[in-house]
Amino acid sequence: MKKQTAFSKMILIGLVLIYLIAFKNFPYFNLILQAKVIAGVIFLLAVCLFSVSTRVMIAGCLLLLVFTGSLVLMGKESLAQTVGDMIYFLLLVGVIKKIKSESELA
Amino acid sequence: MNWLDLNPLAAGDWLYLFEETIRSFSFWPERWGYHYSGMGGPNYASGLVYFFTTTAKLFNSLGASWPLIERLVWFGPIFGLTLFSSFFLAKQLFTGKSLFYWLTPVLYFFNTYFLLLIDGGQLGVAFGYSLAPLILGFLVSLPKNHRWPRRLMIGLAFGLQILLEPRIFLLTLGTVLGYFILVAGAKKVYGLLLFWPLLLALTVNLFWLWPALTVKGGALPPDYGTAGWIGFLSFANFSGTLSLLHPNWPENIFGKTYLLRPEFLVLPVLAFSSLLFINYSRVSDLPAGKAGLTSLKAGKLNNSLINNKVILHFNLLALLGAFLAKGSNPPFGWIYLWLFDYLPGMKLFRDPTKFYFLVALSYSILIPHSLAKIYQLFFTKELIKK
Repeated sequence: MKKQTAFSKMILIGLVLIYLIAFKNFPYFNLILQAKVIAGVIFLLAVCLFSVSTRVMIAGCLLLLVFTGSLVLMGKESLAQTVGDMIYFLLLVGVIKKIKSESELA
Repeated sequence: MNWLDLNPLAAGDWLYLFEETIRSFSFWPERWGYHYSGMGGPNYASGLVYFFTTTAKLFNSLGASWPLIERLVWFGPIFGLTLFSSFFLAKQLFTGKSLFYWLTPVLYFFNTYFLLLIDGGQLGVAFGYSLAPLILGFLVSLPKNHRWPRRLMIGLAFGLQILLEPRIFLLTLGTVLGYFILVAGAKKVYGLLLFWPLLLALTVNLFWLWPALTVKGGALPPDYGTAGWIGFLSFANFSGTLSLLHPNWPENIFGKTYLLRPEFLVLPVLAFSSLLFINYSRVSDLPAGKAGLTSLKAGKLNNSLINNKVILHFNLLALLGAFLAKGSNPPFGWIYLWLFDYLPGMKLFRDPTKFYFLVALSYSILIPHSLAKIYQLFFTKELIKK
């Protein structure tokens, strides 16, 4: 359980860092802001989000959603679209997981 | 300002009617008429057209001009009903004393989808949109109050929605069924409660539904059923639908779409934040020790919150609406095309933006709920961390 909490925190910190880097337009960010690299990293994060609690998963999705806003501001609309698609399916999984746990409680 | 004086209001699909035109209308429903195309033609949107022509003729015979009629019959009731019905739904769902439910009518009215419906003159759709929360509000309270006057009101509201916009009726019905399945646990009794209002709604519409379905020429023009329309009319992309941002906002020029505006991402972030508070909603969910230590009484906590399942229902509805409103655009655009070809009734949705209604309805409930919870978290310290 402790491992899972630490892992959740790591993911959240990772997401916040990505957001901050994007938001402040870190000088080297444009070098690494290749659509495939970012999409790959986000995909890996998305996979990791499956193994944490639903709440962390949803919080991660919301952070990623804010991140897509930064991408749009930086003119990376197509990348934002790719990230947005992943967020959507993660949110959907999160909602379904919540519904399942609610019906089990009932 | 044009809305307040008696200048005519006409834009997009909305018409201006001359006195002579109004006088030529019939009081009786017409399946075929010379108004519907140059040399005359079938009346496809029979219920809506009948309401349009009959009310125009009725008020004109009382001496009203078209600018007054359109305000009395269309714009006035739509504006009033949209605000009232969304407020009524919020009152049914938010059982506590939170003032945040006043935001529901604001969000339901002042969103890009509804504003462009009005701007584009799609007043039949706007009328259906304005009735939907009222019906949902009535149905939410139906298990508590299922007396005949309440069922009669639901039936008449459903009937008016079928008359004016059957597509929004189908979406409202889907929302209601989803609510009963997810929130109320799909009990048989709810099906029975819903049966009589639906029967009444269909019966009062038989005068135009029956000929529309049986008279040769079909209920819809022949090319409406082809999937080619979907690609043409799928203007919205996924980020836009999730942000409740109409693709033609702000100019509303048909076919001219715009890129995503990041400021609109605030709406889904706030709406889906409601999922983060779900486990805080019940004292019974708390570990035994914490539940005992808290100074909150169970009643107080339960009274200030919406049922968890209601929140989940509206979240699911928002996600479904956002997915369908983008039509055949990626990702998985083929799903919409497949549904259009094989799901009965889906042929009515060749314009996928109708599904924005589900997103607007959901966000107008979820966002005030999230804000209420955030307020509680930071200012009243009522929430207890698990």
